[in-house]
Amino acid sequence: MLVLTRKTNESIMIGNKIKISVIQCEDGKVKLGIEAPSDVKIHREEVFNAIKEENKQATISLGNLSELKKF
Amino acid sequence: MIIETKYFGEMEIDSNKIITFPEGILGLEALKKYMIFEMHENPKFQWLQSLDQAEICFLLVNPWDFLKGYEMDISDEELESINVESIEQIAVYNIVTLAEDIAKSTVNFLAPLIVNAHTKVAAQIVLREDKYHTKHPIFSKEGDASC
Repeated sequence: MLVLTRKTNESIMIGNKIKISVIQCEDGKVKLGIEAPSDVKIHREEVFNAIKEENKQATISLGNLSELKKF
Repeated sequence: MIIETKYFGEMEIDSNKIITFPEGILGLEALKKYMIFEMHENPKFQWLQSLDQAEICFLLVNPWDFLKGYEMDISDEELESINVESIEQIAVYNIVTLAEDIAKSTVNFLAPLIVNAHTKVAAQIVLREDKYHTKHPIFSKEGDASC
């Protein structure tokens, strides 16, 4: 992993189209500004992981199907 | 063509109805081809069966059958990714996670599946709405009333 140190209001470029800026840094929280082409999907990692995990759970827990008729 | 399914054994399907997820479903990116089957016992549910891996099968619902005010903001890029030209082409499904106690099952309203009903190209998208998450109780008391 590449590790860079940036101060508030400094940025990094990823390629020539994606810019990530440090907006604020306080109490262990970093506020980032992201400028990227609209076709680049940006999500918090935990959201992304929660969906992957949910999808995997949804494929394996198909038990008790006859019960579904009641609902 | 004949396919192998998780719950119904071998089935004959119409290959025109095969749904393609060019980017797969999150966490299952390698699987691209699926088929949707109606659940005869309860028309509110559908099966999404993988054609690439027979043991992969999801239970789907139409969100508005369970949450009348469900809202989704789909970006132009997401619409383009499934070649949608008009909004009427889109079918929306959400994946259900069945719990051992079925009454405690949940539905993922955060990441719906959008399907171009004409071209059968589909994608799982992630909504930016803060009000949705991956585990909404599907058979809540309010839900029962609307079923």
